[in-house]
Amino acid sequence: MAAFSKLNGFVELLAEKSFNLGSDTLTVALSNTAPGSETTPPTGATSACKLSNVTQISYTNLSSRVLTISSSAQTGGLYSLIIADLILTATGAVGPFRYIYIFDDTATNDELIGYYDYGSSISLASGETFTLDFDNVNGLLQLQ
Amino acid sequence: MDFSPDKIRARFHALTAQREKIDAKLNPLRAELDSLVGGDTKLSVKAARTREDKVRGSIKELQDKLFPIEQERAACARALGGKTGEPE
Repeated sequence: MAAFSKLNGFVELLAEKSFNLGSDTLTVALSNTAPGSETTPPTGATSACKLSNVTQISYTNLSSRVLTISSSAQTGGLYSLIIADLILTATGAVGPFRYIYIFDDTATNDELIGYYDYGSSISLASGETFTLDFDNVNGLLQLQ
Repeated sequence: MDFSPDKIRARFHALTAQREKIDAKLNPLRAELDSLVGGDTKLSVKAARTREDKVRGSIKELQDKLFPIEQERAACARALGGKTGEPE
């Protein structure tokens, strides 16, 4: 699994009540445009940390992109967000994409949490799957 | 136990069907949550918050059922090298 890059705006948005990570609809968005190359990079200001600043691919032939939350809890003051692996299944050509963002579809402006960079573009043919293999112990992210 | 690609593929699609049944219950709840959070409701603020708490609880219960299904689907997909094919 590629390394996860938390977006800086996420931490302020979290502190200002934009997310309920335990039960909001967390979803992935796929892009082939580098975050820093977007017209308004979502890596910049907090106000830019939203889905509308991401150039997304077409999802016509792709299965559900919604994540399944297993656990949103703290132990000893360490919070972990545990998410089930996500299997993206193609029923036709999908992609190319290189970046996979995670955003909150329930939040007012579909605010972003972070993204994965897979290093090179990926395309799927009909009948192929792409699996996002999340860490089931430490979770997508931890807060302390 | 038969771990042939065909059997694993059949199991993957059977699990996908289970996921879709749960999604059919989850999706309306998620849509309602969107409306409540977005203020797109005729409920009073107090009633909307009460309803939001209940909807969130229902979503969590359904996600608890979905988690093991998704984990097993992922294991099947990995075993098949991503070649899950079309459902039969």
